[in-house]
Amino acid sequence: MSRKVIQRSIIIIIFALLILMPLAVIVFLSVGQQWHYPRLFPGSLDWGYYFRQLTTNVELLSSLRASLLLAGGTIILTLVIAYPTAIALAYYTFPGKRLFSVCVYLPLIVPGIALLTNIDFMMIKYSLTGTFFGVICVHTLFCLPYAVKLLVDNLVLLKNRYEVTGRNLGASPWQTFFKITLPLSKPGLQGALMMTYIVSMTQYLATLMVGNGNYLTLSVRMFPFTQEGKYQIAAVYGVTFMLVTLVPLFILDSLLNRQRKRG
Amino acid sequence: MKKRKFLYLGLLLSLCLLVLWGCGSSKKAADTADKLPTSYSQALKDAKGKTVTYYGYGGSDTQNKWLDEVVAPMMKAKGVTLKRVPMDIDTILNKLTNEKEANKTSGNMDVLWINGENFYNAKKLNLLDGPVDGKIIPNMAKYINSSDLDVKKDMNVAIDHLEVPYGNAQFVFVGSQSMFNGDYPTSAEKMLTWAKANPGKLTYVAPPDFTGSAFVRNIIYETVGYKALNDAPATKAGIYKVIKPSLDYLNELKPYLWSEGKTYPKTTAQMDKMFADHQIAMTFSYNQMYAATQKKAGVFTDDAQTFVFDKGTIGNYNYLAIPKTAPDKAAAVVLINTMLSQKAQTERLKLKYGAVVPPYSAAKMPSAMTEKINATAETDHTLTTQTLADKRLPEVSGKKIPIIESLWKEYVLNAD
Repeated sequence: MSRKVIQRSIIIIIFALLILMPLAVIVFLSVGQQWHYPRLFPGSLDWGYYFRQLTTNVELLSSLRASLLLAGGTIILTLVIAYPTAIALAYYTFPGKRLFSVCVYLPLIVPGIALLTNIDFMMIKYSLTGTFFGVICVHTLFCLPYAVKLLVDNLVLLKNRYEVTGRNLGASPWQTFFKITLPLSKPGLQGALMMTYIVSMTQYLATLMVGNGNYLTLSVRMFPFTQEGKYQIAAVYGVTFMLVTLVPLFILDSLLNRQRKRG
Repeated sequence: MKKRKFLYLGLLLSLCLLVLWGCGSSKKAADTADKLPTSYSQALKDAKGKTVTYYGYGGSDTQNKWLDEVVAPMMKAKGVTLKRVPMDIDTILNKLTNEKEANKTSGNMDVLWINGENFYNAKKLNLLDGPVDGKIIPNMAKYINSSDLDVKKDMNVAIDHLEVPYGNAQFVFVGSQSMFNGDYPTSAEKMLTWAKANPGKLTYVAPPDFTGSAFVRNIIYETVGYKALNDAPATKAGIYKVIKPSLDYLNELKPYLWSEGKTYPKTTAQMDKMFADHQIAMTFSYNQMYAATQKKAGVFTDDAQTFVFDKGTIGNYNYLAIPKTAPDKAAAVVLINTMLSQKAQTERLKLKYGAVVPPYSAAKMPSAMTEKINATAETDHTLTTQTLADKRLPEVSGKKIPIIESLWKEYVLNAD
């Protein structure tokens, strides 16, 4: 018994190290001073550098705003497309369903740069590049596979028995949707929302190319610095990036959990 | 329950609005392309109240600062708003090609930072507008001789008035005074001798890194000469034949390099860090004032001394260009002239703005600037304008660079 516990905790520690160590390096990079080889840890820590950058760097704040704005738009667009798609895939049979459910993954299978160059070409043609709608469309394209998959799994698990019962008892289609389907698929929607948020926040090339540089998000600003080897500035962006990605997710998660417990 | 329904309806409605907003804000592109202004005074008049966009590599924070803190206010005084977009040149060219294929005459980019290989591609694809020369850029006529080699050719590609130089770069070595004992390897031969006596203390960034690739070319200049390489046909076989002695040299050097030449640093940042930690004795850069900026940044110390090969090192310029699809060419001309002005270039010499040497011709350089550069040489172990100008060698054609890089990979990196 105790052997099992030890075994399990060793595995957990290994996983924790694998995940946390790279994160720790990023945090140290953003606050560390005089970090020379072969020192394992920085000579001194200066949290001031991080907060100075955060409060005085106008670019950091404006890119944070751009990131959040795009993520918000992408979430709405993605859910509006993904939810009906998922319901159709989970509850209805139609010719070509198998093929369709595989095609949902295409945006992840086709190499990004080839896809983006051509999307950019089409978007330029229809004057969509550089617009808010154009950029969230491209983000949505990359979010859809995740969102659809999460929602379908959730819906398949529940099956449509409740809906059938509801309709039998005389509920209208809209009533069935709002009172049965929607409340039941809340966990799926929650997962899809979080995934969409993360994927949208991390889009680099799509935002830069289709956005014409009008939307300088956190990842767009961060990327050139890592290329140039300006690791400290890149790390400041990285830490901010992690914070704005993780904190809202954490808050949302705990809010929904509390609600579920109460309900 | 009713409340909830309203909530969802509201969500739906907001989505519709969002879509409408997206469509509404998509500007219809103009049917006719904007034309280059005929004179600078005309450009100034037309540019007033406009926004000019500058697209270029955004990874250099000193350069970003220079544009934001020096150039942007200068433009503001002329009634033009400067918008800087960090985009790497590959994406820029990709977008310009797409615009061209979609038959758009008006795009988003007004001014580009471009050089060498990318200029060759952009010129081939007919993406750039011209002539942009001293006639509409007064500061170009004032400070730059039109007979300067770097104004006529960018990496051996004829410029044909499609680019304007705005920064001067030259390959320099930075050596550790204590590790070299003040006797720097100022030739390939000396470098090999030193490496043999001090194994594991030298290395170079692996091409195709921009600077690492320049190091390999410098070695080629040392071993077979610039002329031989420049005259060689731009084919793999042709170049291999000419640079065989250089590849042999690099292979002879290889076992005496850091970790026996089995691996190389991937970025100059890595190499700089190893140099700062005294793991290796030498680093190099395309910025003549690198020792000074890195000293100021607290990375290098007074131990770092700049030197060049006795036979000279490769120099090139950074250039600005105006794409054919630029939406506002008058404002673009004003921006280029402003970036070339003595005021902007003097500020740019400051360490906090990257200490970039101006692209001015030696004879036309204002004496205040020459004095400033020479003073830095004194205090921060860089080189004087005279030394730099004397030891400057031209770049070869951009077409040859990837060939040399692949030959290096084949015959040096994967030799055994």
